[in-house]
Amino acid sequence: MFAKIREEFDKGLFIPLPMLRNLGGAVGALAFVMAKHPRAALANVPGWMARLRRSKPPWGHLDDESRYDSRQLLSPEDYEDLPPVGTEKYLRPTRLCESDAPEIRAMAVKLGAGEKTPLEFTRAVYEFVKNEKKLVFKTMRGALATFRSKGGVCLDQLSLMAALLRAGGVSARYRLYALSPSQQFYDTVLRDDLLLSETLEMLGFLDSLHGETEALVDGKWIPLDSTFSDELEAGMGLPITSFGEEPTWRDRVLTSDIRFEGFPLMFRHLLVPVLFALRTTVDVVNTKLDMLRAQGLETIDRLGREQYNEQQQSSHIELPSLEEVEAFRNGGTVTVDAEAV
Amino acid sequence: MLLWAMRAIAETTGRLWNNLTDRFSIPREKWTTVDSMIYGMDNYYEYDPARVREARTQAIREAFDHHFSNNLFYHRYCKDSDVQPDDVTSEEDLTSIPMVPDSFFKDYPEEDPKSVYEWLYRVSSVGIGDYDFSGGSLQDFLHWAESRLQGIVTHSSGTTGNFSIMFRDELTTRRLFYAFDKTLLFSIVHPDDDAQFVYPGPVKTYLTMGHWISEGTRVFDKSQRHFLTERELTMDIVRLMSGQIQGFKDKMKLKLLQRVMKKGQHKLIKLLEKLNNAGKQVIILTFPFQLYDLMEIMRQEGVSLSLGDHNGIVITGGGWKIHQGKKVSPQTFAGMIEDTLGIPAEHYKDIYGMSEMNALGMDCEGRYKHLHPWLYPMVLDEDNQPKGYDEEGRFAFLDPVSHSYPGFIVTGDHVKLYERCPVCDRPGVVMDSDISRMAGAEAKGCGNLMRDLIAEELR
Repeated sequence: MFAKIREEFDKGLFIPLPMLRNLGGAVGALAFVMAKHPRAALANVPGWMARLRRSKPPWGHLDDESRYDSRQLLSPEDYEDLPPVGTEKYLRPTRLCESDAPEIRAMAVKLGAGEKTPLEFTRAVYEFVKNEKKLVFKTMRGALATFRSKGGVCLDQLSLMAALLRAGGVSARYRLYALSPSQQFYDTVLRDDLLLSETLEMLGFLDSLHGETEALVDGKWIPLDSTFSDELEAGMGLPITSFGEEPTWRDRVLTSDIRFEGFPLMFRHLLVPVLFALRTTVDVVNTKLDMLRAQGLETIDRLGREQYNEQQQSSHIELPSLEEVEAFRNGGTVTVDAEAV
Repeated sequence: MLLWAMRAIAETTGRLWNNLTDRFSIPREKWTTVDSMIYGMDNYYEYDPARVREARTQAIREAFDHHFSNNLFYHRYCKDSDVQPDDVTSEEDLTSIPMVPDSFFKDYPEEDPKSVYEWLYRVSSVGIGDYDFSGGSLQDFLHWAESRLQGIVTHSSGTTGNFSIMFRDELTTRRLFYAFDKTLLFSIVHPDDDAQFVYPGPVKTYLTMGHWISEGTRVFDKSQRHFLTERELTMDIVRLMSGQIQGFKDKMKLKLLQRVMKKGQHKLIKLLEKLNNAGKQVIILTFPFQLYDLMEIMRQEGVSLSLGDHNGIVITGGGWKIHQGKKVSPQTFAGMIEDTLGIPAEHYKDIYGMSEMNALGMDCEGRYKHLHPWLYPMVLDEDNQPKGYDEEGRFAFLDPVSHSYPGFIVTGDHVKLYERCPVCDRPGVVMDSDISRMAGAEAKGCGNLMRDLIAEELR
């Protein structure tokens, strides 16, 4: 019995206190800003009305996303010979991470589980989630619902990635951390919205509202953040992130990160009041993201992914090593000829 | 070396001036072109534009050559951009000089002193010697680095919590303080030998404005300098102010500092009354919101002074958001200063500066910011390409004063530049007073942090 209790705790029974505190802080700041700008807050009423007219909850998501259902990528044969469901910590299904669902297991096999090396399989999962699923702000619904739709919030995408990895036999966990959005993200998504920009200004940075999946490969936890698809990164004028690279749409803030196996009870419901309060704002943001993705896709089609990234990274400044600097200062200019650069 | 600027400094006399030259000048035989501008020009706002442009181009070429030859990261950066000193022969070529984003100066990998030392070693254009620092905190490390550079090291803080660290060696420091002191203390009205300097903020800090004031005003005797508090403003507290709460102890320290500063405002009003009654010349340098608060208290308490009768001056810098996004125009502010402090509008100047830049922009009577003549300012478009004058965009500059780091920088400020001042006849490029941060650029500069410290409740 104790083992079962322990398992439930590991899988995330209660919300960790720091997470609750950070979420409370963010919601508190948002509530303050909304109270300060009641007119901006009331601008969300049309969003509620549109939903109520269609018998949907005021915080609900309206778009029909059936064409993005990834089950369409699977054939009946893919469901044959599914891998067993893991029972060990970080391999078993947890709340919102349905690694035991047949379509998740089938997709894991399709992505190379059991055939590719763990590293190559992890890369394939990362690429699949990054580019097949989109960042869409809506209530959290878990890995399976994300698989069956256009995508979801970052945390839903992490869940899908963790579920696919676990289904393919690679241990995966969550890691939430604090961040400050990059200038491009701020400019394109946050700047024009009074409530969002003032809330961010009040908070200084966002804590525990974003994270990454960590995959255990060859004894090392690899961070994976698939939130921004290639076309969204290009649409925002950011370098396109590849497997193993840190995304540039945000800066990490040096605070304590929170790692866990599964989302806690009730966690997904915490976003409901935020979605409710900011309904129209969120609709606008989702429309903006679609527009940016369309722009990004056009850019990638025009330039090609590699050339686009080369252009982006030409302004990146690499620092030399201490030894190289010492040699340079001692007159060793030969080390910095164009070939060496 | 150009000879055009070798005229003797005529009007600048007196004990304070002697202190300034003793402390911050450089022997003439060591002058480079930029030194001939800083130390040789009688007046930074009245000059022959053609000769100054020629000198500026030469100064920037010399600085570019120095950083290209002594700074490996910048050398490689230039090679990547396919630009080298020989390619820059005229003013038209200046825009090809590779510029570094200001965010680069907060890109040290970790906050332990050894990592910051190694980062400093790799980004610096001057040697900083071996690492023999034995302390533990980053604050102590800045002190060590400052003594090693024999200059000045400062930090600012942004919303990400990473400090932006600026490091100036002795040469850069001397140039900076000479130019700033000459501009602020000697170009508005000539200061009396017993002029009193007032800064309503803390100076025991490495935060840029406070530390600059602490060091730059040493031309005054100790009895002539007045600060709001002697309490230390550590990096931990600055981090706390930028929203990153570390713990109960730091929170209490911040609370205490806030109380001290609130109380200090009343002490400061008493001091101003005393100096006013004694007929002393008062020079106030402050953030606009600090003075705004002070004047509000004075208005509520029915205190009005006549500091203008004794040639008092007010200099502000750091942006116009007073509280909760409210802006007060410089003209309205000048009226408030005249009403409460009795200082006429022509003795009130607002300045533009930033921690990476060794130059200032100072108000003329039309409230346009006249930039120091050695600075080559630009406005960039979204692709970081230079735009023409009269257009808004991202501010960037080529600053030949910096010797310890490449002063060719793209900033996060959104500005508008004019080739000539629309109001006055002074030569040189001017900046519109309406300056804002580029959206998304870190908002917490010195001014914002200090405003939080005084005006806002703890988060």
